[in-house]
Amino acid sequence: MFILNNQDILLDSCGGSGGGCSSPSTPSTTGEKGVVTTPIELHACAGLNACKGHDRFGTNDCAGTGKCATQMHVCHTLNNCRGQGGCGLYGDPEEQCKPAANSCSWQGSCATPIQRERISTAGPNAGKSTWLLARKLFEERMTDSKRTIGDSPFPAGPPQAWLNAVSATGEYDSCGNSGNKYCSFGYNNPEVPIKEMIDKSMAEMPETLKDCACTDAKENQESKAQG
Amino acid sequence: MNTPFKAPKLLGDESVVTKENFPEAIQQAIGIEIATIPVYLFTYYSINRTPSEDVLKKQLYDKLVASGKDYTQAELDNYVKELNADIQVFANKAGAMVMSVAIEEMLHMSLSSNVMQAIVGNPKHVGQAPNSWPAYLPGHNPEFPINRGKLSLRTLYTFLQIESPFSIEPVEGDPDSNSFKALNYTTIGEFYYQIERYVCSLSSGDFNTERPQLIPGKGFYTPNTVDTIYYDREHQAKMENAGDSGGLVYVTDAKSAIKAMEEIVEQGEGYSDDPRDPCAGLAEPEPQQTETDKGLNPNGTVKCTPPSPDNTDNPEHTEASHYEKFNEIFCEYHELKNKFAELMGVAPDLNPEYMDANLQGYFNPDDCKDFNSAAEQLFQSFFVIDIEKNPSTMDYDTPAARAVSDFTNAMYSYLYVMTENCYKRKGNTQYEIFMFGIHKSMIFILNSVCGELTALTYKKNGKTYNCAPTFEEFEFNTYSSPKSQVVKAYENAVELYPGISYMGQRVHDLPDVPLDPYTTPEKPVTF
Repeated sequence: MFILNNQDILLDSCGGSGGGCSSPSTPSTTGEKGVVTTPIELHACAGLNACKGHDRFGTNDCAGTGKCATQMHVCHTLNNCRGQGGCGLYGDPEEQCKPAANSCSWQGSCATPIQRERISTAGPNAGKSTWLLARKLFEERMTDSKRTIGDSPFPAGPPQAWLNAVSATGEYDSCGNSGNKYCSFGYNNPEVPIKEMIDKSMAEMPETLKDCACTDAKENQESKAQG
Repeated sequence: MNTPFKAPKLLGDESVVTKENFPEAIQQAIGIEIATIPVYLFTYYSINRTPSEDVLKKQLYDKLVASGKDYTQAELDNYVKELNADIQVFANKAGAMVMSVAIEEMLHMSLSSNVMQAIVGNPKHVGQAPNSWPAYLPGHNPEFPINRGKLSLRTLYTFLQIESPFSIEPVEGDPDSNSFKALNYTTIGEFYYQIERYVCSLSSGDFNTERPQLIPGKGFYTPNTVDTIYYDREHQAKMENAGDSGGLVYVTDAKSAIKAMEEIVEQGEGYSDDPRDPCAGLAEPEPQQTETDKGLNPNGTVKCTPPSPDNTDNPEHTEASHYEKFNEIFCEYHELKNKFAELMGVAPDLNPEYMDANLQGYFNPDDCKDFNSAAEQLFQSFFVIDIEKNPSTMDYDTPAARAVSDFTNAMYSYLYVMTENCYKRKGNTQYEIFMFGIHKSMIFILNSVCGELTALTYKKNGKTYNCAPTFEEFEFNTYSSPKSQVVKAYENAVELYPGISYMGQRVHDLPDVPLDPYTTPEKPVTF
């Protein structure tokens, strides 16, 4: 099932079969399922909105506090505008260094919204949280614009279980064939690897940003070799 | 009907690459890389990477109960939990590994194309893929048949032959050594080494750096995607390809050309801290297999020992070579198959001949009675889709399945048209063809329609099989553009099988790329 416009409600994305896992329990979403206001600003995820009233439900108080994406697409290169690429999972190292901060339509990598469980698969952020990097880049952009931003309602991005709950189909997943990103085969508490990944991502964020800047510069130079 | 096709000889009876035979040799290198792509993809689409946990657990429970073994309820519950995790992890891992190799084969196709483009130009991709099966890897001596097959020990054995880092030699003193013909095996690494030796003789003036190549820095290649990761038993994500195992190389001189070709060999057969120097005055001999080397055993059987650093493909020794990846899957598959068989009351394959290093004579996989055993069929039933070997569209007995298969083949063949066109275009036009044509086609069209095909079935000789992508050459005529023929194939298919209607916009959004003779490089591409 594919998302065609912003008047629609959350639908699942490419390959979104949910994998082999049994469904995890879902948090409360009273009054939120299927509720969409006409968006003023199109952005890629919770905590990445620039203004009051710019989240999916039109109820957030200020920049950075929105609860969900207003722009939705299913995968790599399917974003319509600047700043709408979800990133992680697909894309080259440079693209994956710019979640929700791509410069043009069709340059995003992976789906929006960016669930808490999503990791990047290439570049300096590989194996680390895509949403946390997106939030960091958003904060830098807002700081450059002299804007005050509030805390995100989800400190590490919207959990997949929450996205499932607000989805019209009861299921949200991003691209690919490797299965459910939040899962247990009975041998672990699925929160543990997610928490470890988030802690690692936060701890290594300064290094990640520094390495991403190098990746960007290197790829920019290489790409000019043949004009 | 599929008729066997014999591979052209790599260099005729010659073993040295010269100025005269270089264009043919490097084009055959591209052909080698292209030949592997449909083979690996076919197997990939036979794997159900994420079986439904609820369905699988019921299947496992039923098989354990039916085994006739006197399990208690607690034992049944424990085995169901354990075997479910075994399948969930292995199926996903096998899929990730095969896809990670397929992605690197596409990289290799581009690397060898860059080498050809820089030195003589005009790399060909259209019509280079095998179109009759079994196929034979161009240039391998001796030839061995390559079939498109579902995931199985026999299929994985063929993959090991393709990626083998060592020649297979006769067992010394073996009285039967003259009765088998599998001697003097030429590796892909040896082939590239001969090309590298010729490239060493070239000067910078022999390289044209203006002809368009697929170069780094433009987002054309990434080693890992969501399709090359899997989750272990504790659901930790594992990435199959390492970031430092290489990428695209802009070929501007002998050094960069050799770098491109050595990357191909290292990813396939393994990284070497002390590689042969192709620019040495005299050709250095191919390394000889020793007891500690991985590779196949000298008699052609499979060696299941822990990975060695020689079988990684990067300086950090963190990514297994193609050979090692397939060897690991082969051996893990073998162990799991026997574990499931023993628990479910089916005879396991004890002391299998395919792992017998002391086997007298050369191991012939086609004579191996252990392949496709009852134990293997049981194991496959939990996650491998029941696909016939080497199917063709004509085998499919419903108009809908044939139409969807035709569309799949049109899309698959159009990928090669677009790839070839990338070597005629520069700048943004090349970027658009690659990103919005090749890339989108693979992820959003080919991947989807291949999944749709395996859900369809057909009957043959009284047996029901699942359909599969046949990866047959779709011959575009010159009466209309290739894109319009892809669109037409889609329209034919969606009329009979509306389940693919969600792809319509994606198909119409493809770039309109002409066949080679009609390309005007300076004109932008239309969509």
